[in-house]
Amino acid sequence: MQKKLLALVASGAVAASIFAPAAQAATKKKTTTTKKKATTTKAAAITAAPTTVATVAAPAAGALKSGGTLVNVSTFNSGDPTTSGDPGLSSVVNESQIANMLFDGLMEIDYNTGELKPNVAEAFPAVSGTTLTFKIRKGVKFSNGEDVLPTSFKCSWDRTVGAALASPLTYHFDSIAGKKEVDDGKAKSISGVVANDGAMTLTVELVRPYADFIAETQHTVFSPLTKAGCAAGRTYHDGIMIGNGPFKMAEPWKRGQYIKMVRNDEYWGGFNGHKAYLDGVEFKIVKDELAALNVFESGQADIAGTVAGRFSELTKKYGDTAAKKSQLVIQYFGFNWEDKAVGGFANAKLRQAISLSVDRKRINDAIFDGSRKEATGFTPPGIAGTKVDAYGITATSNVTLAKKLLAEYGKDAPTIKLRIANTPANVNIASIIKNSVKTAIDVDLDIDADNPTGYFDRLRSSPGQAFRAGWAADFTGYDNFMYPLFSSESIGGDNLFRFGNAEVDGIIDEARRTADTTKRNALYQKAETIIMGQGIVVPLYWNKWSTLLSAKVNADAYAKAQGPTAFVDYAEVAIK
Amino acid sequence: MNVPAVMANTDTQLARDAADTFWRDVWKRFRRNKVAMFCLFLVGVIILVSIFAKWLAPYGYDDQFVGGITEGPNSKFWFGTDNLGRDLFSRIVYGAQISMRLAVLVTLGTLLVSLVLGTLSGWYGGWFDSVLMRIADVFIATPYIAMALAFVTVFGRSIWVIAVFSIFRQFPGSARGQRALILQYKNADYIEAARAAGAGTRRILWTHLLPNTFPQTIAGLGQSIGVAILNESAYSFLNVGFQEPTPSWGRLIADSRIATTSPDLIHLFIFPTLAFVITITAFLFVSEGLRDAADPKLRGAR
Amino acid sequence: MGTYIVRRLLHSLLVMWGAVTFLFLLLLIIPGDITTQSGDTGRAMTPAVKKNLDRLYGLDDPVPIQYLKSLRRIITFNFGMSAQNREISTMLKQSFASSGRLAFWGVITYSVLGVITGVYSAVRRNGAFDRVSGAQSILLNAMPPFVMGILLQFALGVMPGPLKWDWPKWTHFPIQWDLGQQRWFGIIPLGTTWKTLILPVITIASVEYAGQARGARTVMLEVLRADYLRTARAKGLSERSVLFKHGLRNAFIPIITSIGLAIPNTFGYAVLTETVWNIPGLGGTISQAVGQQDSATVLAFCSVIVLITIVVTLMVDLLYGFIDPRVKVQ
Repeated sequence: MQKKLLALVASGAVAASIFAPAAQAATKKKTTTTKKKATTTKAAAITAAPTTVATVAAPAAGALKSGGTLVNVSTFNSGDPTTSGDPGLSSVVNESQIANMLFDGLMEIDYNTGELKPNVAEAFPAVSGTTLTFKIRKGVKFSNGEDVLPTSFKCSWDRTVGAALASPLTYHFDSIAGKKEVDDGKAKSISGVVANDGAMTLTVELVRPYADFIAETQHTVFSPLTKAGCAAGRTYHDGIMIGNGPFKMAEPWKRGQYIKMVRNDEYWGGFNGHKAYLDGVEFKIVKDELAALNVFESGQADIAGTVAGRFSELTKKYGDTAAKKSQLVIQYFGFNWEDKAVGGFANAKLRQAISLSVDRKRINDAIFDGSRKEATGFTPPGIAGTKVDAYGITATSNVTLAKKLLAEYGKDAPTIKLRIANTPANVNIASIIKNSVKTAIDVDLDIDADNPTGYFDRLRSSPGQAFRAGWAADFTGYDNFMYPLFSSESIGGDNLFRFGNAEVDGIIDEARRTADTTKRNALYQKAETIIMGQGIVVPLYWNKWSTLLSAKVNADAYAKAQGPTAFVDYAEVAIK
Repeated sequence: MNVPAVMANTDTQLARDAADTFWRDVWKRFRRNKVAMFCLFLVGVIILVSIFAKWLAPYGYDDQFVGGITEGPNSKFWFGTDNLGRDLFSRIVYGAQISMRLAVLVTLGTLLVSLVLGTLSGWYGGWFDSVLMRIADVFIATPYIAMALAFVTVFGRSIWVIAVFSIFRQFPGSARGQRALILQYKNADYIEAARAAGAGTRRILWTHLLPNTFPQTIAGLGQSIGVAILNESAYSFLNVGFQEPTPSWGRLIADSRIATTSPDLIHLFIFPTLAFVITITAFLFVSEGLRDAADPKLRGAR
Repeated sequence: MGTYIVRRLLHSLLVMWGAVTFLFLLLLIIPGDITTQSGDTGRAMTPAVKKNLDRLYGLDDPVPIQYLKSLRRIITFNFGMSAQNREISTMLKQSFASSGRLAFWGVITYSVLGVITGVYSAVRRNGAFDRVSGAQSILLNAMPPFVMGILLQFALGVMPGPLKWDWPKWTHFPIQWDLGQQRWFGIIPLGTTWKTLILPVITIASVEYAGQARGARTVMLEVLRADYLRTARAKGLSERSVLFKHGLRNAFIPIITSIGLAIPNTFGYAVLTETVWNIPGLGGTISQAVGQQDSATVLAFCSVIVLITIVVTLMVDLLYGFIDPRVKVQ
């Protein structure tokens, strides 16, 4: 799934960038929030093999202090007008953050460890062929006191796929039997999902064996809803949505102003076995990171993002506790493998020379004030098995090697058209790329600033010569950085490079069938080496969390609560 | 206006002589206005800077200096550098060229459209007038941000596109002004006289009506240039203006919001804003000075 | 008078129709449609989803029918659903509460301050106050409102922070916009929410204030030189009553007119002010909606803005006739 978010790139439609016209340099927060799609998980088999379950609720550790309300100005600094929080409609990071706090799913990811754990389901489901049986935990309640039953899940899923809601997220249910009939208008309910409230079981019949489904259920789109919620239409988010998560809404969302979440005292504890420490979290909606920073610095907020140009100063002032954790996000620009001038095996040396000429440190310093990590490989360091220093790419331009490769290339380099989504930060990044390539090896890039709306749609069908994009992990596995992006099966989808190579396809396929983690990762690494050797992708930088915390926040707890993707588990956040 | 009596003469040569005298008088009065003269000087400087930007700017507007990210003013970079290490002075100088180029385009376009529409509307009146004025109303009523955004999305961000929607935004006001002037003079005695003498519509318009409205038109030009530059800054601020890295002044000011969070970056705000404010003020003053000089009755009233 | 109002209203409806049609066509020629964004989840849209969304937004009709339906929605004030998954009428109410509050207090501020400044400068012509306010007007006139916004943010954000140059406690106004509870379309701020209003109102009023002050000064100077004032003085009336009874009354009409003419401009400046102060108002919603090619929302918002403009200008005109019965509205 092409995370648009990721794509610093497309970050923000025209409109979004209008709201933050000053973002000459987008900070990380912006990147992450604007368009990041919620984590969907694809390969559960790879990440968390359904083994034993340790979900007995342990008593709260007691080490953290209860109470206090924190004010967050960073999550919504790309604005909120398009966001929902309704599980059936939420896919952008900031709205999914709200849905995550409001709803607890069958499975959840432990943000501290990155592991997948059973949550409202008592254990990993019993799998027999294409049938999965989830046992639903007894005594889990919605914040209004209503019981969470297997039907709460079933009716919620039916609502999401139904024509009336017209949710774009129905693809999550594609693997379930009977979903197609709903699409075709032949049925109102997914026949493959059977809820038995007496036995507290939820049985899911899949179209074909698909181990990833278990992990995919941690997405908020699989959340349960109350009876009223199941009957609600597209404007459910205009009132108070009732969930079974650690927080509940204190009052309806005040659009463009704030959304107030308070502790859900009906909460059953989750796999960590305790209610939220905080009394509440208020998300202030400040549509622009600079204004948000002003709010933070004037003492009116506790959690804020940093801004470019001031990162080092700010982290010095407020501590960089929260800035250490990295995110599984790679920003890159890629070439079109099918393009005559730059694609194919014949132009590998040209592409590599360009990749080596890009001054990544300058991008990091100038646009992000050093708050990112220069990418010397493709798959981020947080993924087991990845090698990041194996490709000769250095943080600054490697002019000597680049010139050597260009000489070996022998031909005159064409002027290459680089397509980007037209946002101020993207333009600046492209400007540095263009400048450093020109300086290092005298190759010209022509920046083609495209409309951010529908940018990826157009890339999928015709990527041009070269294009800017980014990728955020759906889950913490190597496969997620290889198969969707470089397998020839993904052409027309997320393989924007249109890279098709039988050798790479074979290795990835072998890896997907390999059970042993070390061996599997070695295979992925082998595939990545081939890909990088072709210079088809020019990695730019990896994202890190960069959050500023006021003196009120327990920074250690906060850092643990930051997930590998873009969410924070506020149930684990506490004040000092 | 004190000239029409003279210009009532249907002899074109005489009218021209009268116009010469008129402009000589205007210049004489204008020269006495020290502030306006100083501003005229400034306008001259700005125009020269924008014409010779290429030779005046020490660096290119997109030249990036690796060592010089967000430096304050110093001997190498007179106005400091921005976060990409680009020389702010050069960017402001090129910005003058871009802003002036756009302003001139917009002003000429507005002038043409409003002269034609305003004159015809005022002269013919009736349903023709109604239709034209309603069209102008539509452009006034349509929120400009919606129009601008749609335009740049469809047609891109070239200077022509920006100029076109700027003209759409500016012409209704000046067309109305022109129409009001025509209405004012249309029934004047000397027009009646010309008509009685058998002059055709075209002749009346060209030799009698338009020359009379000319002083206001000229004075309006300066103002229109100021307004065009102001509008451009608003477009850039709302991100419907020029494409980066084009250093239009509006873009530079919009980008300088980072300065609201740190005193070290304040040069990014101060220099473009000063250039911007001084330029607009100069144009507005020259325009006002001209108007006062052309219409001495109002002198000192402002 | 009655026919005049009817004719004006008919003209206005025509203008409204023109603006709506113009925008409808503009949005039509942008490649893609509303589902491009609202159906975007980062992967290609399935036909079933596209079909559902098309039905939701009425895209399954041919374009002329879509156009007629848009007109019907506007006429009946039944605007339907936006790309943001919200009732457009709800969005309108909320955005208007913000923009209306900002514009209303902006107009009040620049009118009152502008008239006071202008009249006082005219009376004490060429005095120190006149010169200072003249220079100030010139400066403000050349400053787009966002420059004022940036300056204020600098004063409040940087000066007390990094520069350690703090202002008195009472000037610490919240930077975050808060509507608080809504009453009177949100125009009247309740409780302490008025504090969030101060800086944006200064920002929006700054430009027009300069214009109004200069305008009022010009008008007042003309009035002061008029014959009837000389007569009044000759009659031996006190300077104060000459000024207030005769001067101001005569200056009133042109001043009201110029304020009335400035009001539509204020809505234009409101977009900039809202952007610089993060206010969820009409302008921001419109640009968001244009970006999403959400024509239902764009048309609804634009027609409401046109309606407001029309009502305000009409009111100014009527007021004009009311204050001075000699002025025949034409």
